[in-house]
Amino acid sequence: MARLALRPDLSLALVCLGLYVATAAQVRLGSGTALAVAYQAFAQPVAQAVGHLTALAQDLAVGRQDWQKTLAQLQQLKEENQRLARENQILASELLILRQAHELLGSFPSFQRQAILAAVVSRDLLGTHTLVVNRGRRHGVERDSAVVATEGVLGRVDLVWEEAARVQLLSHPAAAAAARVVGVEGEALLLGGERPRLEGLPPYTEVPVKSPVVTTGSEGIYAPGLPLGITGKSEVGAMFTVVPVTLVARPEDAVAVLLLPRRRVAP
Amino acid sequence: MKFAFLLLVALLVQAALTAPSLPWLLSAIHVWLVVVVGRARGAPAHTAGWFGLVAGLAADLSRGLPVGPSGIAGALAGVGVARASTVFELAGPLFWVIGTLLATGITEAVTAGVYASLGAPPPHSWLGAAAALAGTACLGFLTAALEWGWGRFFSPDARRRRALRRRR
Repeated sequence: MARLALRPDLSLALVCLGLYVATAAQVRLGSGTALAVAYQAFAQPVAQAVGHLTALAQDLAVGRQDWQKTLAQLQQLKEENQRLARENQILASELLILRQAHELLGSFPSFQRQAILAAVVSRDLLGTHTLVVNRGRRHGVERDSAVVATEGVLGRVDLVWEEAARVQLLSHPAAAAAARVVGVEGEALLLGGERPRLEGLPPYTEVPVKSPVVTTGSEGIYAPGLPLGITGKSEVGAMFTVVPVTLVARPEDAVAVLLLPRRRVAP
Repeated sequence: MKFAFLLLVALLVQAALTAPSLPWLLSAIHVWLVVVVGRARGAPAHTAGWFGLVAGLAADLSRGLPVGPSGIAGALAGVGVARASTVFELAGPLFWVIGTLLATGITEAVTAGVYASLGAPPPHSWLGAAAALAGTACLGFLTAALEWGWGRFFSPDARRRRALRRRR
């Protein structure tokens, strides 16, 4: 029996030739094989699974983008909230100034034409006993102009800049004002400091407690009749009566003040 | 056996690459050809040819095409790559890149020739052939890079180097 032995490369070529013929037959017939249909049925779920995985990855990417956008919006809203809070604070402060200024002008109608309305910019009530207001030389403020709040006298201008002025409060140790007690004869000197007091009253003067103390204007700074404080229990000294005074103006609450022009007293 | 398993994986990947959610260019890649190229490394030409023939037939089946043209093309590609790697002593990344380029070129040319000689319309035009060439070459490059990376960290040489470093 003859043994058919072919070289592997020749047999490969022969198989290829056979495949060519088979291909030609398939092309003529134009129908798919059962194996191809079976493979397609097997491969279809694979493609679908990849499609699902890709869709999941896209959803994750979109979700991440949305998350980043939401975080950016949150940051933006936080910043806007801070800005609005600042604006609200400024507006509330301006409203307070306007209200106080309105009350102030209502309390001293006679000064409305000549007084300068100013807002308090800063205050140092314990260290230097001063306030700084936002009106200065450019607005007509002069040294020794009287400064009043709604309740009464706060002090006087002791330093003037171009755009601002410093107010020395009556609580300053060096502050002083000519004053009188309503219903009591005689003029006294109100001395400032931590415990303001009236000095210079004649000996043995009876001063009722809780009597209003007002300016007399004789020192040439304050207009007469401005409220300064309320008397406490007087102490009769060797020569003069000393009366403690509680100042009525509260510099810690003042946000708007009136600067009254300096009074010129004829020598 | 190893290459039969790789061929099965390649056909599954080929099917996965046709998913509509993936870029259309990926479906043109002949993943099975990369396995044929891998089989052709260091193997006799006829062995690579037979493997290419089987792989091509499977590829035809998987794409619902007439069974045969890709088989013939795969056989010629296997033989061509095996011969080229022997003659030009191709090795390393160069083998993969040139091998995939050569195999895809042969496959596309042979397939087009078979269809043209039978008077049947080819499954794709020259644009598809160009996409297949570019895509498969890229896959060959990626395979070369992976092989290089694998050898860099997991080869016996790399293990020996790491062991020496630890002893110092």
